[in-house]
Amino acid sequence: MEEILLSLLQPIKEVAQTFSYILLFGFVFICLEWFIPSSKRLFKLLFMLIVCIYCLEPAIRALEMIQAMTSELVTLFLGIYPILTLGIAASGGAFLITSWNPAVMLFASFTTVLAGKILIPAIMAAFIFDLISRIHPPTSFSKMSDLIRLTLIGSTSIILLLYSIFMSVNGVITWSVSGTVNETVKRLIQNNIPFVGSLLTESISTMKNFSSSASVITGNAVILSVLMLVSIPTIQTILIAFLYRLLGAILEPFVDGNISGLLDDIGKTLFVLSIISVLIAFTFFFTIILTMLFAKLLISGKG
Amino acid sequence: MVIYITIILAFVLLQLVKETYPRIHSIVYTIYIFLFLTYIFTVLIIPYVSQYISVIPANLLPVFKLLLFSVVLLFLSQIIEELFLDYEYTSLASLFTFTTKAILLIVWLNHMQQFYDKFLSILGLLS
Repeated sequence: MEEILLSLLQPIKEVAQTFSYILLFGFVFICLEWFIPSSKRLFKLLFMLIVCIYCLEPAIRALEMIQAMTSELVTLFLGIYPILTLGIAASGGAFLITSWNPAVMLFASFTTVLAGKILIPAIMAAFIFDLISRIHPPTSFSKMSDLIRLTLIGSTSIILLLYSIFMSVNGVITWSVSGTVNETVKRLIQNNIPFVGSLLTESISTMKNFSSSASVITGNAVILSVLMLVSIPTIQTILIAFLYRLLGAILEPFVDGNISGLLDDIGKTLFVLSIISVLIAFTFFFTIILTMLFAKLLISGKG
Repeated sequence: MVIYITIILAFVLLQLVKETYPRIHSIVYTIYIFLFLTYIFTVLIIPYVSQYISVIPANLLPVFKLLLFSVVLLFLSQIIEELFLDYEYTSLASLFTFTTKAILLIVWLNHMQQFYDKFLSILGLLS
């Protein structure tokens, strides 16, 4: 638990440190501009470069984390699924295996590859376009980065919709939370997480449906623990994105509009990354549940 | 306060030189400017900076040093450029400005190597 908390608090620490650095440098640059007013443009450029050096670090790390997770998951999929499926069938679960839609497995591996090869590089491209637009405003790629973000949200929503279709085929709803509470939580997430809020609630609903069907096999407590574990990268990314937007909002009156705009853009892009990380979490969750199912079948077969 | 008095005294003395020996006024003025700059750097800027640099966090120190170097260079270049312009050496002033900009660019690019290495590695991931 402590490790989970530490991993969640680490980005807050980093972004708070970045905030203090930007304030410090902002003050230094205000003094310098007052001291040598003829070099205002040069100082503005240097400030942007310094912001890039210190500010992009947590964002790039979040991206690299999701990228690493995706590539590991692709390897895992390629290696483990044929063995798992064979194992389930061999341990007498041939009847049970029919309840697992094989298309889900194929689809899960396809989305992981898609996330690793197209979605995350596209996020990186959006990052780079934002950076260029803010460092050199005459060469603005802001529409391009907005387009990338919108396309990514669109494609992720389609993938999640397909997931929900696959899952509802097998889903047996046994969710214990009442509908009213559920709806309130949904509205809360939708209203408070910009851009991807509604998409996130939909993905949570899909995961909930899937976990309801899986909990018949594994039990609620295990499902909850696995859900918590797989959602850490997503929560972490959302947290970093929120902090970036907060940083941009706080710094807006003190620093140049381009700098607060850059921080805001990084926040927006990280929100999109968080929804992509939901896809990864989904696949990860699916893998764990399948492994547990295999273990359970193996034990019951021996017994 | 010492600096104000020095500047006022220098102004009076330079005016005196201008009236008595107008031919050597420009050379005296130029020598004075360079001597005064040396005095400011050795007596004021360097001791103050070395006194307060320990306050800056260790991971920000390289950037702060670079920033300080850039500001000092800009300040020097601006004064020398104005000196050249006073004597109508416009081309020399432009050359001086150009050299300062080139030095600043090279120094900052060298410092940013780590950043653009990361940037290029991200570009590499796109392919």
